[in-house]
Amino acid sequence: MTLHTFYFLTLNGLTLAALLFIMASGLTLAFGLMRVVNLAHGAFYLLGGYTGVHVVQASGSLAAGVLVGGAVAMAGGLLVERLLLQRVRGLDLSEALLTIAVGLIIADALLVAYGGRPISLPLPPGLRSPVDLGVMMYPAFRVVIMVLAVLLGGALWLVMSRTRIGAAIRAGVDDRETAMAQGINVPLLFAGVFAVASFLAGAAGVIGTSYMSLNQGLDVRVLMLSLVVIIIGGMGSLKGAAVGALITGMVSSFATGYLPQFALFFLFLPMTLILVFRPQGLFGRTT
Amino acid sequence: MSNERAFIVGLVALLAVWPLLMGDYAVSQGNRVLMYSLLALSFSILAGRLGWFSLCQTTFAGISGYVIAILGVNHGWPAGAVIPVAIVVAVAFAAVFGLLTLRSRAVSFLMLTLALGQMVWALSFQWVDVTGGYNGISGVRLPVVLGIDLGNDRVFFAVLAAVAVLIFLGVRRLYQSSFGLLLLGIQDNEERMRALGHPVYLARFTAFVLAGAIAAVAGVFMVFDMGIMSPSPLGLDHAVWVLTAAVVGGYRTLWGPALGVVILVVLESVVSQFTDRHTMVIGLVLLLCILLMPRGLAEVFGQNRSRSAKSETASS
Repeated sequence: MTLHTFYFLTLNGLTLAALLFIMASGLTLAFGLMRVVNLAHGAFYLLGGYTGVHVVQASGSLAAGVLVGGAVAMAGGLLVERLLLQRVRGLDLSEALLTIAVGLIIADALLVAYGGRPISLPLPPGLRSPVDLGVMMYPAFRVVIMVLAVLLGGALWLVMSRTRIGAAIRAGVDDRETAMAQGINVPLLFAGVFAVASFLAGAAGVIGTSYMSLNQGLDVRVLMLSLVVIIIGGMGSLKGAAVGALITGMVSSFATGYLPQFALFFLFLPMTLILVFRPQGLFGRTT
Repeated sequence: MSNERAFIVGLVALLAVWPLLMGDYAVSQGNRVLMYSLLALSFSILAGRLGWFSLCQTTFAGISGYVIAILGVNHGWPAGAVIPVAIVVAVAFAAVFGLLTLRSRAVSFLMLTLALGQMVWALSFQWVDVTGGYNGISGVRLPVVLGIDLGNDRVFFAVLAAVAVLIFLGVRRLYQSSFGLLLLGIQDNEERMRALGHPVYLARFTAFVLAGAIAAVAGVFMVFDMGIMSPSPLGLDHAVWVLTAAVVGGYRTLWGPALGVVILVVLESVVSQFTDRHTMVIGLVLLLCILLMPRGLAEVFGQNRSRSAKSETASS
């Protein structure tokens, strides 16, 4: 193996890890606070992605695309939370099944609207050219994805550990009744977290579309990858999502580089080992 | 009990005359109902007895279908040899998945089966050399045995109906057996069953593999019925279709899942006059079910069931 290939695969792995972290962070956040596995996550990713492509085409700005894509997914998430999820609050299985049903409906509607043709993001000119990373030249937009993931992780960590809202969220997770008795508006907090999680799914869809094109069935792939990441890292843990994304991204990149036909098998391997030896995930808590 | 006997006799009679009296369309729809009834039964063994909602039962059907297509079409094995091999391979997958999901609970089980099942789906797309990728493998046909073309829709119906009835009756015995009651007991209170000395994990694992085997049998019929094996039957929408059918018909009962399949197939043929968005229709049906009986999924049936389970234990 040449050093160049090694650097290339490492950078690809880091890019994929960054994208996986952005995808999975919303899912793990919603689970951590609300114990809701939002299985419509992949559909919100698609919704954000398609919206973002329109916005980027019209405005030429990737940032505008990410924000609007995220906002549309957030609006969808809020509607689902207020109109549907609230009716089955507390019934874990019904909540999960409800989000599956919603996800199928959204994905099918998007299929009607956009057809099965793959759509990719028209990147602004500045992001298309490669940049010099010292070890090699690497596409600028991939560097941007990595930077965004680090910023997002840092921001979420700061909010969770250093602010009153973060403290309230952690209190709501640990002991809902006591948190409510302390005057924390838990239902509002839940809606807020679900909104943020949906925003992250939609924003991930726009960012991710610069890396892999929007396609029929991508919603399920994204959902599967995000689930794999949080199963490895531990459901509900932000640190777990980061580590799970790194493991999955690296394994997947090196496997694709050397044994492409078995790439999925190697994706399956870390999850299997975790399930056998540590079913709650690396940073998960046993309940 | 005598009511159920009469129902079974009536059902067998209906299945016997169906291919003789009905038209081609009704027979092919009948085939569909029977195959999906087996899948819904496979789903409800886990959902109704253990409270485990699985999204990978269609995966086992897909695996046996792929084994038949790969060995039968690409390698020219005879149908008599590929069918048992296909079922064994699918059951082996069920055993591995069963071990991986053994320690999970309701929602994490749902997530794990979704992730595992969709991994196989993605593999069937990616492993183009073996699976044919998106286009799949076409030309899967049943042979002519002793002058009877097994691939003929009506002959196919007769074989499928016989197998399905035998499997349903087998599961009926299972539900009445002490093993079936043990599964219900585990769902009610796992710790109590463990304290009583029952092998809880072994019982769950056995149920999972058994359900996988039934799905594998359904998969054998499905691949011969379609004549082509592609990734689409392994997709999430198929898994949710089966789940919805079982929920609509009542997954805690033996015949409910089959009833649910009949309802969905009829519903689909009605709505297909207006729209071809079947996935959306299924999503809406599932959504309505959950909103109309949110507790039905978890509690209302739960109380009825624990009551009837108690009376069954008392009478036996």
